Amino acid sequence: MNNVNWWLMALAFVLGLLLTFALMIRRVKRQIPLYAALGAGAGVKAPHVSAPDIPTTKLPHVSAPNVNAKPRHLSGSDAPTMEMPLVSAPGVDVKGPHVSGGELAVGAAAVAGGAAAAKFADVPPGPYGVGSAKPGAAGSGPEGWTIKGNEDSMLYHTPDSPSYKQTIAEVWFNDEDVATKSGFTRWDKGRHPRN
Amino acid sequence: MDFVIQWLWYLAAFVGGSAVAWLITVVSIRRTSEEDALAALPGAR
Repeated sequence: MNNVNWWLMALAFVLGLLLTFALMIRRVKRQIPLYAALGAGAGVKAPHVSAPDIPTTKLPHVSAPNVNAKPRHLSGSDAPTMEMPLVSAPGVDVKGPHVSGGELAVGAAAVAGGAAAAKFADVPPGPYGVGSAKPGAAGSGPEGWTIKGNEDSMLYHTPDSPSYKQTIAEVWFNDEDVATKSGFTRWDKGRHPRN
Repeated sequence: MDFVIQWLWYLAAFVGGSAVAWLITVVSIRRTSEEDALAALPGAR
């Protein structure tokens, strides 16, 4: 210990400190996969939409009055109170005693209950109930769903929105009706007072 | 032998500095949920 150069000792200490800081702390940038940014997510199937997952997916319990009041509190993981009925094959009508009219009315009031269940049978309900879906791993939505919901601005973007491509969907909607009922506003509503 | 012992001391100092940095990081930066972290990102959209 007597022969140790204390300046070198301090240098080693500082080097260890700085290197560890550099490796542990860094500015984080949100990175979007190139194929998602290009909107070519159609080929990438969202993992949670795959058929084997459907029987185990839990339906969020969504009560109708809450949808318009505080949509942010309705995330799927908050209150899963019931499970999807076990379906043996994709496309089987999931309408049954577990799916009450209330849940269906949330997502697709305009559509008849049985038709809605059949329509969304291959897509588990998202944070806003039937007709909404969480984005897949690449940010892509279920096939054929085109409406992106931005939970920060509470706007939804249709493909004719100029910022459609750069919008990162936090939730996908099947149609505008569902998006409106979930408390989202059309992207151009502020620009056209008559809307 | 003397040289090796010196070298070990410098190595210990390096490890000590690294441990201090690790401690500071763990104490000062708390884990948040994935949703919170994404929402807090600057220029997230």
